[in-house]
Amino acid sequence: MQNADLGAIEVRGTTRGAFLLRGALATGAMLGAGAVSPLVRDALGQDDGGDTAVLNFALTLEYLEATFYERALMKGRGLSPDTRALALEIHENERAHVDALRTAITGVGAKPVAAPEVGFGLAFTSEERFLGLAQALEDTGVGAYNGAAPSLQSAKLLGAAGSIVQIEARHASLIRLMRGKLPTPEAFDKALDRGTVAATVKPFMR
Amino acid sequence: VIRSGAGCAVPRMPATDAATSRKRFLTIGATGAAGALLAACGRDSKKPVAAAPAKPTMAARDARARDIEIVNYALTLEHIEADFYDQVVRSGVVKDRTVLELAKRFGETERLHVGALSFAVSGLGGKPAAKPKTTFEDVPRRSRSIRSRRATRPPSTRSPARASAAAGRSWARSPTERSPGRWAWATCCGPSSRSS
Repeated sequence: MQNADLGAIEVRGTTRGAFLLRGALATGAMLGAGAVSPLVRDALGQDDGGDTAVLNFALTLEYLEATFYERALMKGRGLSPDTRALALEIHENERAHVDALRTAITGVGAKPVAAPEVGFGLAFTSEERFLGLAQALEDTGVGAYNGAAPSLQSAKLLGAAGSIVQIEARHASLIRLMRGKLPTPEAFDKALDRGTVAATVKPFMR
Repeated sequence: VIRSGAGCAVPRMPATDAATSRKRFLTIGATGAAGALLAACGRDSKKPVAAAPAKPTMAARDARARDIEIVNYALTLEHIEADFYDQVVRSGVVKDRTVLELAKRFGETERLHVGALSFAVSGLGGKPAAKPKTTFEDVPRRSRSIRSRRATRPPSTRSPARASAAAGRSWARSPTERSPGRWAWATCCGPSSRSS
């Protein structure tokens, strides 16, 4: 676990903030990824209903991504073992996001949208095409969460969305590495408004 | 909220809005800070920025003070990250060219974050947190040669944390846990590969 390394950092000289940070780093070293899921679940459960439209839009995108990787694993041609392993892992993440969002929406008495009918053209005919579209979808997901975040009414929900968007960004970085590209082309990610996101994913909706 | 297809994820909220009292890590808050951040992003600088809010209420001042504290907390973390990459690069401890190029690139990114968050704190009327002094285990200081450091350092100072982290790499099961240097970085970091 890379987390263990954080506990070894020494911070000297310093402000109260840095002192608190030292404690936070040490705590972070002890908490594994498993500690995060209940946090997200509880935060999503706090939603009062005003944010459900945003949640349902996010759910549609997560469905789109989950189905994309599912089909790549079923019928993707020319995928290397590394690419296949990456697709498997990302698919698991997207399925978990779908489940979390569905639970959140149901939890506030709203109705989760159904999984959309989707198609991805020739994306699964080669590794290059698969990775190219995967990068585009992940980047769109990151931009969508960044764009929607300020409109969320629930601060806890905002925190939960933050824990999802950074996973999407890691996917995008890993895919860039697989394509031989720089994993962090910019120091700041984009924010996309809903119209832009909808237009971007429209070609894949049936 | 400032939005643009090419913009950065920097939301803007009226500083007098009671909603600013919410702990919103990504919401840097006041207009000036958002403007500075957008400028730091290098895009959207021609977008209009709303006029500064009128006299803030006491609640808004409290919210702003909390925002400053939160952003300074993030700034301290970014300082440490930037310093880490800087020390690693200067120490000469990294021999793999692609790993070194990546460390440089990440350091560059962290410095941009430091700049943006410093602007944000100033824009909120606060004093940006100072860069803390940091020491990273197993990163040789630039003032000492690697050779002399190795000669004087007893083996027992190797921390259990690092040892277990190193052991962890051997049972990594998936690409995200594995050291990516072995499978995908071959061409990622050249000067010509900076397109997204």
